[in-house]
Amino acid sequence: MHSLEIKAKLKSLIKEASSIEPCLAKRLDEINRWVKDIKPGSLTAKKFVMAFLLEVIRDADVWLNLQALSSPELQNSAFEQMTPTEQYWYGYLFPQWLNSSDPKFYIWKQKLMSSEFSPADDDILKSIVQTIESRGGTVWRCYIADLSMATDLIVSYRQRKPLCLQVTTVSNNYAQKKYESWQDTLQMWVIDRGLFLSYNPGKPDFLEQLVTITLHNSDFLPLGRYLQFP
Amino acid sequence: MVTKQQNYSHDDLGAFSEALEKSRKMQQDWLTHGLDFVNLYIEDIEGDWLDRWDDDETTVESSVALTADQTFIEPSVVEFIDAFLASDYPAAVWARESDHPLAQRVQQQMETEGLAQIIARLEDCLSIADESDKLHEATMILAGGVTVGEMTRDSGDEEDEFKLFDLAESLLEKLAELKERKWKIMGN
Repeated sequence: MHSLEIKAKLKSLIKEASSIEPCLAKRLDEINRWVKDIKPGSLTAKKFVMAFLLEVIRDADVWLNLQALSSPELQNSAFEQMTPTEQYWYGYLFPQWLNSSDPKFYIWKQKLMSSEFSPADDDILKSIVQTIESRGGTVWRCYIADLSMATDLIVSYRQRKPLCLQVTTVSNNYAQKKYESWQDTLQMWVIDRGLFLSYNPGKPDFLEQLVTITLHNSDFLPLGRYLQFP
Repeated sequence: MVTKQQNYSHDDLGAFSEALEKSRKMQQDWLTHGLDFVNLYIEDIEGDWLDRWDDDETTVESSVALTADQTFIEPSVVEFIDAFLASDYPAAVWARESDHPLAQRVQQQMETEGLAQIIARLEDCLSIADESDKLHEATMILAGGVTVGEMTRDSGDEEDEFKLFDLAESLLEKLAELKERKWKIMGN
């Protein structure tokens, strides 16, 4: 597919959403204008913009198809098809994002234009996801949660209770400040619990430990707790 | 990904299930390939598509393109701001009648972008936390991307610069008030 077909798809979704879900139409329209003003120089920045567009179009498509189901029973059946993490995203966080003003949305553009954005965590997040899935958990990852909601991954395990997870390395001198800012962000989005994990990539078995802590807390962390570990 | 118009009214789960499956596949592609997953979906990522984004003539399906006039701003908001711009408020009079280059830029912006589009962009500014950044961005929108210092350096007329800031500030205040009022009506 060509890049500008994405623009056509975005505009077609805006048109569809205007009668079904005006808040989605408005947000997609904001994104269209936002992209118009971006002039990134690097290929990485271009890829990031496109990845975000692909993702938001994908989510809008799922959301519109969900809203268009003609009865509450059909909608319930649709949610039953989803994993707990997908349910949390499409049933709670994505609509929250559509219906709220996103104070970080403007910062995304600033970051991109000044080339501050660097997706350096891909490898570690990929390993975490693979390990969680191999143990029977489910995971959701998306840019909106990452950039606006300080959430690298949404994780669910045996109790089917999705948990927002942020991971950072222990060498990060700003870990404490980052933790406080993370908690504020989660509370702003009315995310009722979360896990902020620091890890040492030089330590043997760090990945297994990280996943064990995450899965345990997904099942047992009480509501209202924003746990920093260690 | 489809580019044809879809019919979003369903009595069965078929279309939803298909959308969910596509969503899962994209999620898996991203996790497997990292950011390079976009190469699986887009063949000209390295091209000049970002530069051409606002050029409707170059879109593959210009038939579905919306014009700037179809920006999602409620008619009552447009009418309210239009009335303010037509009022006797000094900055509004300046924007309408002055022949200073800054005022002419504002008039040109109103003509080319349309009021609804400008309001939509100003509404986006409301989420900028830093007041100074917010005002700066709003003046950029009104003056069509030309920075105030850039325009007034040659003319040496700071009075016009103040008028533009006043106009931007007044418009932001009015849009914030309207937003606040709407939230109250909605019971939030």
